[in-house]
Amino acid sequence: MADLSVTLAGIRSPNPFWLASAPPTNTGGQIELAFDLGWAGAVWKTLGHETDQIVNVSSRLAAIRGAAGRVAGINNIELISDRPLAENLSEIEAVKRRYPEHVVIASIMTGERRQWEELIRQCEEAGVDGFELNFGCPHGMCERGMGSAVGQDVAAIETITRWAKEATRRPVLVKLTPNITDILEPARAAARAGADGLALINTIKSLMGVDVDRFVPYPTVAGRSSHGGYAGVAVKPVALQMVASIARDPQITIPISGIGGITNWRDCAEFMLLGATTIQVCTGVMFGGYRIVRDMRDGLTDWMDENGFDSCSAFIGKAIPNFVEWNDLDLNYKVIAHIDEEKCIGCQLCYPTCRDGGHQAIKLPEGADGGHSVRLQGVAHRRPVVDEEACVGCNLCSLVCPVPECITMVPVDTGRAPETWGERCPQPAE
Amino acid sequence: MHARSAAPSRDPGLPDARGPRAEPPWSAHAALIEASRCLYCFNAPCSRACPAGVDVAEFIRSIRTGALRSAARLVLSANALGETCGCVCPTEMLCVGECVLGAIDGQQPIAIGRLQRFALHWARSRRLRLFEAAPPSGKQIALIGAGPASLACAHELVRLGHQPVLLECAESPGGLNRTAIAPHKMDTDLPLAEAEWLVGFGAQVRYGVRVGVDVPFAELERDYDAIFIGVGLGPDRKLGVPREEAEGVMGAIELLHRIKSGDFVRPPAWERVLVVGGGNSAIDAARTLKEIGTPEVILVYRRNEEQMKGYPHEWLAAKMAGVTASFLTQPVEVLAKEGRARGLRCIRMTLGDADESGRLRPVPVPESESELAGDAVVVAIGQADPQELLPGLPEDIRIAGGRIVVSPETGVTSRPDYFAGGDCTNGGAEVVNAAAEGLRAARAIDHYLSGKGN
Repeated sequence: MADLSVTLAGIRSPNPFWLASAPPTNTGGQIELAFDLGWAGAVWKTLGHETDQIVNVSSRLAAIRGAAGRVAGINNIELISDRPLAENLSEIEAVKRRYPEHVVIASIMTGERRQWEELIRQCEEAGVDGFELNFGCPHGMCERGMGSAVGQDVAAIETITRWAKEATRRPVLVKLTPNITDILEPARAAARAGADGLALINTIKSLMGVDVDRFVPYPTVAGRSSHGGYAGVAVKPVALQMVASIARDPQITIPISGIGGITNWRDCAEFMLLGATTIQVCTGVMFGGYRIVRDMRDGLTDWMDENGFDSCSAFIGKAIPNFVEWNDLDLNYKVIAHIDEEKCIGCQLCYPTCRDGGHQAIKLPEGADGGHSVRLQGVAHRRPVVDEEACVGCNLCSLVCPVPECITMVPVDTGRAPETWGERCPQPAE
Repeated sequence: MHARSAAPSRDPGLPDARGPRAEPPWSAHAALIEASRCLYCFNAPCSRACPAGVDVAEFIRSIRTGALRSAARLVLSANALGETCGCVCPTEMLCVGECVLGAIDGQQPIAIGRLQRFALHWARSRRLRLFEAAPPSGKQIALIGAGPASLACAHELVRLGHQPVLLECAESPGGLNRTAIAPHKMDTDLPLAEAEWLVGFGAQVRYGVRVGVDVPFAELERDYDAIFIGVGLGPDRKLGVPREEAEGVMGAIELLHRIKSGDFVRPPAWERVLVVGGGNSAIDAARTLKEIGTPEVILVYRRNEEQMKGYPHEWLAAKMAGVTASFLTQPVEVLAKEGRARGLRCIRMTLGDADESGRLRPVPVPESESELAGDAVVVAIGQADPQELLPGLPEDIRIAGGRIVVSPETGVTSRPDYFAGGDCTNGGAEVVNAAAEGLRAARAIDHYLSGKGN
């Protein structure tokens, strides 16, 4: 059976599954329960200096829903830990004493250099395995010059990372904010300053919606609201792009802990294939409980066994070579849509989608305006037809089709040798 | 495990004399979950299958987005009886039978009837007015009968700015929709409440009025700008065999009406009841008899199972409720003792050539008579022609084959000022057909009145 253990920045972890710094890592009791259920690591809910006052509001969360009302994403306006630092530190100590093989990382955030140093020393004494500098929180703390206010300022990232590195010999990870134009800039800054690893993404600055009866955005606090941090399944594509961009950047060689919408083993595999060494979960646990790690562990192990990967290092980063710039894609490769006549149920969803949002390559069947009865005339009379000349191979119809494997995209021979844009229009040398 | 007591003192499963209670309407959340499964097909086959032309795909989309007012308006504008149709429509033969989701492994078709009922229940229970009527035209239209066809016609006439006046011989509206729907599909309160909601938009109703008796047709023609006939059909048709007047012989519609109105208690002597017929009324009566606790119910039908006019899904449900059948069996005489029915003398039938409708004609087998014992006989072989409900109907209104003849596009009769719709024109169909025909006639009446130029 495949070995799930990993080592990130010198921190050995029995498996790659960590809890992200968030409500699921608020207390020692929670983290011990999570460890019992199979999580290997926890990044403690961000600690501030003992002089930083933290007060929370209620309510704090709002959701965006997908099909059948299922939550696709949430946003959160909760701040960093509002519990006394001493209480957190004694719980960290207790957890590390009981679970010496598990990973406990202190997520920290404060202001002055002296405060960072004191906080780091206190956490070190409590026995943490490493630190995660929270340069990501996009609500509440950034207004005080912390969190994403740091993560958006390359100079501040370098300065504070250096303070931390000088204050401790334990590994220091930098947690990045996605609320920035190019993720490589803060990532390179952290690497330059000596960070031992990167964690990303933190939440995305967001406004979840508006109560259309009361004209107040969500989540509502006494008739008002504020922007929050967007998380959950919906943010995974944003996170994957940023993780992969850093992972393939030749200037950055430090490891990555991937975060953003991870809820199952497949998400874990995807983040790791794009370069993450460990993964961190918050929203998945907030909705499913710590127990979701069972599926992550079993599913990832089975997938590794099926693919002949003995260890995580055998596949971490394996998809990176296939993640290239648009200029490096083959212009002469072509696929076209193919509708399986046996599987088609005659819903015709592919028709308006191609007509209105595609390239007008799907035609309705002949007669009755294409609207024949299923019961009386049969599905065959409702089956749309692909105009193979007009089809550009965009995938849209295959994404809209509700029947598994009914519309497939079939490669066709264009008779032309592979050629990229870069090859067709070479950029003049600088 | 506890053994179930054979004779519990208080059995919650004991059949109610009024039959089973129909299911309550869905909550908004239940409707949202179901609506979210809808694929929103293009050229949606469900929409095209609706006899009333309800845009199913669009109203379900509006339920999904929470635009419930819009969902209800979409249904109501095509089918004023949309809420009761949500309960009584044979959706398996119409919209639901078309739903393509049934073709995907592991998926069920959308419960379109439940969703339609939800949307209109939502609107009706809030007493919403979902449309603005056109400016008053000053035209008055008499509608004979206050069943589904007339209610739908009146609803559309109000929208178009006219003043409908319904003349109903009974004391409440709804027609057969109120009295003759099997109790497991719908109770009596719903069609009443629906009718009252619809009438409340601006129609007038006069109850206890028999046109042709209390009000002559000539008076209607004088007082109204147009006349709509929506009287339905006559009472249960009789077998026309000896001793049919015996106690314990009754029609299916009469039986259902009595059960639903609560004035019927199954006589303990009714151990075994024979139901004559093979259509949906026969199936409804038979299933309802089982559901009120009749130990044995036998359908007596002159053709075979494949030739039954009743819907296959309804017959299957009746069989699952315990109804059995004696096929290829034609009653020739009611057997009676001391004036009370004790069964039927029947003759065996065989199937001959196809008739003009394509169904195989039943032919008697000579010397094959036998007796079929039964403590009661329910006759479900159709309803009497509508003429007897319309004494004094002008003779220039053409009737053929027991139906008032109308143009299929407009519902106009052989006289330009008389329109008709519902069972009296189609010979007996679904509520949704009556609603569609009422709406069609209203639009034709509007056209006729505007064409008059005054």
